[in-house]
Amino acid sequence: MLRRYLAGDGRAFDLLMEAHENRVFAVCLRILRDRDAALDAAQETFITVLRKAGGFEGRAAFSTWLYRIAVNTCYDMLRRRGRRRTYPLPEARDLPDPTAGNPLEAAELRPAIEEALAELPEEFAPAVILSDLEGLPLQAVADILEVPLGTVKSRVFRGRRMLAAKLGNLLEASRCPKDEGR
Amino acid sequence: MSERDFDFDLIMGLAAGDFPPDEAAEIEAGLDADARRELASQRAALQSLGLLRQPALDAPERRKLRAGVRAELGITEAAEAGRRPRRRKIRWARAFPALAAAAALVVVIGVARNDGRESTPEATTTHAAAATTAAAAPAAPPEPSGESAAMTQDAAGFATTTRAAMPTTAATAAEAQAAALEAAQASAADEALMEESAAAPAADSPPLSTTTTAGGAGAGGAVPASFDLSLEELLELGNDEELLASFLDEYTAGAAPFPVSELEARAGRAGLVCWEAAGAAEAGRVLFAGAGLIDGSEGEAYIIEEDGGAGVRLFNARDCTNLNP
Repeated sequence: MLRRYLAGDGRAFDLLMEAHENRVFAVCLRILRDRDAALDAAQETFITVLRKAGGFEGRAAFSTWLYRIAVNTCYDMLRRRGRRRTYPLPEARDLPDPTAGNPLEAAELRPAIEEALAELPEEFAPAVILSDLEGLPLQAVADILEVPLGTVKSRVFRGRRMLAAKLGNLLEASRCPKDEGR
Repeated sequence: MSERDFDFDLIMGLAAGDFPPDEAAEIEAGLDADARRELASQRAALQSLGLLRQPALDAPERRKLRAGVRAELGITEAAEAGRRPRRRKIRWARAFPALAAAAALVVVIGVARNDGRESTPEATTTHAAAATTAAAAPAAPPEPSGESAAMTQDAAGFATTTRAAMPTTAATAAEAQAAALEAAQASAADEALMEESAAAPAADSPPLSTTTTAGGAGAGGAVPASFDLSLEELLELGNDEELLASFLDEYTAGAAPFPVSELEARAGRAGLVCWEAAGAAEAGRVLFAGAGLIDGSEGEAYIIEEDGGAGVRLFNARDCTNLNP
């Protein structure tokens, strides 16, 4: 598609955007915690990518390159902003979650999980987001973050550990029947 | 918690469900208390992350994003629309009999066997390889009562699936495909084909708003993804080897295929619900398994490589109705 875009195929622009805009936006929103900022970051990402598209050598997957630029753009924005906003993501525009066995319980838990995720240090958050929320293989995450695979494993492992510690026994408690112990 | 050296691969593999149950139980039984705590911690984190919803752009945000990129890069919508190929909207109720034949050819995507070696989607995927008989295979469904019903509604009524690509020569497949498409066009002539305005700006397209959950499967190399395509575009994907390879490249991010026997475990973590219908009981390798939108409705797509070839299996995610013609 990138080749088609560079060759002047106008439809390739829309195909490229359709293929990637939601995922880029999702990653940016997870990092920046602000829809407007995430939209700006996504826009900046695509502008950068398409401007540099001619120089893309294809040594890595296009998606790897795209994610790398997105993550770097987001952290550049955070540094410019000087602080990180950590309020939970709004639920209203999000999609139904097919994994939730009990939608009410999931809805109750999500804010706490979002908050715990938002509190992960910058060192760990992108690794966890890319691996566990975007579902990317660890090697792809390593390529995106430009760190060794072992480092990514360690960051994901420790990030999850921090997350679990922050959440405490929230999940465990949610799994208990409501009338248990009565 | 201590910072002792854990076997990341082992603990993360167990947490991600990468091991067969028997083997996992055996390994877990051999873990010391610290390692078990770590495992519980990893599982709790994965489970909690799996509950999060995947954020998605809404329609105004999408328009704003694209407009901003276009403006910055000097891409004009009018010029772009002028270059865009004219697209036809087909009334599936009228066009169905012939379209089913065509779709059977293009949706069933041939995937070359790789002699059991580790393969990547890019390396193994080939063009449609369905035999001409495959075109006639699907039983004709009842004619939908409302001819203007949404494409997804019509498609959801299709009960028959052509799963495995059948070997044939490329020429035969191409000829059959061309003939079927021609028949489809003839059948759908007059009122069945509606020209979409070529000048319509992309921003006026139906909202392409969604990705769905892809949570929590990274460690195992599963390939959860999200897509947002019309059935027509999925068919186009099946017609264009380069597009398909690009799609797999982009959506799987280089993830390795995995055995179908692991589909249940991996799909569960990725929030996919139609894994069973997709053929989890069969042998083969999963090249792609993802959830997204098909014509604006939540759907799931599975590309499974089998001994006799491979196929794309499309489902309505609400009730796992098979969308394959």
